[in-house]
Amino acid sequence: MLKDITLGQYYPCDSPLHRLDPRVKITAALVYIVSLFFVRDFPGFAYVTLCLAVLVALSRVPLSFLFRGMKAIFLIILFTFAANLFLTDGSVLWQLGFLRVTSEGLYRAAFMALRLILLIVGSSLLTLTTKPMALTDGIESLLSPFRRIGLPAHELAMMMSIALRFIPTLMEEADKIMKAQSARGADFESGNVLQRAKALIPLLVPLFVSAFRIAQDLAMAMEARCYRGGEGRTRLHPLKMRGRDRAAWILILLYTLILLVQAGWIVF
Amino acid sequence: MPIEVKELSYTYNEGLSFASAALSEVSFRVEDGSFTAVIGHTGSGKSTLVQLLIGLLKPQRGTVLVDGEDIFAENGGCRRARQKIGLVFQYPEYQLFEETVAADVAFGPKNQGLSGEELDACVADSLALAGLPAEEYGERSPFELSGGQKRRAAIAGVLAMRPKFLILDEPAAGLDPKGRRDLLELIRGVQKQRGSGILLISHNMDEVARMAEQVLVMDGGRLAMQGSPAEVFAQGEALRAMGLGLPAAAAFAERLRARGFALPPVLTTEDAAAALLKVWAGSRTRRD
Repeated sequence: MLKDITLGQYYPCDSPLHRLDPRVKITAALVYIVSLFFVRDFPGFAYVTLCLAVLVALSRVPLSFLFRGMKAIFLIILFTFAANLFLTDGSVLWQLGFLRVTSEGLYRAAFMALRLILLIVGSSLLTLTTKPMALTDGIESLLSPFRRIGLPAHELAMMMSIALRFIPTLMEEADKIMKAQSARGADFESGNVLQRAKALIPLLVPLFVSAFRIAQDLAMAMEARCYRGGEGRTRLHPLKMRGRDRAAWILILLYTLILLVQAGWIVF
Repeated sequence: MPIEVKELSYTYNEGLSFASAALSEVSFRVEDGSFTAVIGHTGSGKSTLVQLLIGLLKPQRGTVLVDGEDIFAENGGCRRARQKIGLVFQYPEYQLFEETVAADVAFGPKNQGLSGEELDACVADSLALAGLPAEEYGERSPFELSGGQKRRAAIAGVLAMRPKFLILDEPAAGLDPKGRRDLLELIRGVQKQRGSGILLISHNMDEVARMAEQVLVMDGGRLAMQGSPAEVFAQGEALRAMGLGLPAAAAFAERLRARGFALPPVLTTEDAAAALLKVWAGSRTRRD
């Protein structure tokens, strides 16, 4: 059950997307996320979906693996859909008591849900195709120009990479504790909301204790290997832009231009 | 009634590029009240096996019968199996969560529907069996106990469910020699006093030779050998090829035999000493 959450997980395989420079992929993901908010209509989304589909195909991440992560956030999407569906004013399509569906509401609900799904699939593609270490290196490199105005680029990147690195670890830990408590007859899957929340205590307390223990061990291991921040630290594999990365930059630019023209933000 | 395992197979991440077969076609039987040890090097499928035994994982093929009942049956088969089989995970002390030791131990039996005096008696009994008398430890926080005490408190939590079978996954890992001895005594006590069947996963061949009635040897997800300790530990070469070894006494006897001493097969240090004395006495009478 917990293994179903693929958000922030890496899918090991060799694909053109996996081989790209992380800086390109991070920029692409940022551009992509921002671009979703420039889309004004469904043809726009069709274009974004098509581009995303090509990327997913290129990444060789199986669809089943990609969508397994969606299950966990299905509730959020459902909630957004329902909220938009019932709470938007306009011409009434259907009414039952206080529940009222308007055509504007239906349009907005579909629009928002689609945007959310595209947002999640697109951004999880970044972590699925980029190793956490590469991701951090990329972020650090992208942020390093801001060091001059006092931005702790290395520390931020390190914090992010540790956080990312610990998602699967804590997930595994939670899975283990859950199994141990199930073996003692704990029931995590039935009962009402209150009972379920209470049933989580035997999981959350040991998980919390474990998280602190793991963090302490990590801090000790880092100090034992003389970690002292980013100053003067060199890399085993320095990041280097290659031909395919340059091609990717051009594609990102092209994608953005077409999207902006389609949505009418740029008029010739 | 026993636990019967029939052609059990399990693959992690089936259908993905990093799928890995953890268990293939494993069959065996564990009798009521018996002591079975499972040995095998890291990654041989031992932990996967025990999780399958109480239905925490669902096998792709094969099944497990507890008291003749399929635990993967739709109508809550695994729920009933968990009433009968207690599983102590590796490092069980990380599952402690309650404010007091007694409350933590009570978690399992409470889930079984026990309450009131019956529950208190059950908790006190389990804590006593685990060597942590309730009067002294019951009201303390589990987080202020020592490592070995924490582990025994966690085991008491499983014992409190009065399982017919107790499965322990490397229960002595990371304990000092005394903690180890105490823990093995505890396990033996559970078998004797409650008549529970024991399934023990262990890396310590001496313990296995000393305690087990049946030994299962796992290798690469398969059941490579099965038999009494004497039968299994007679195959030193095969065990070494699987990354395992012999009990110290058996290895010592094997070396002496290679040097021409006529020693019978031995498993424990006591056996070895007795056999050596006999050989020595024999050679002395010949010399006289």
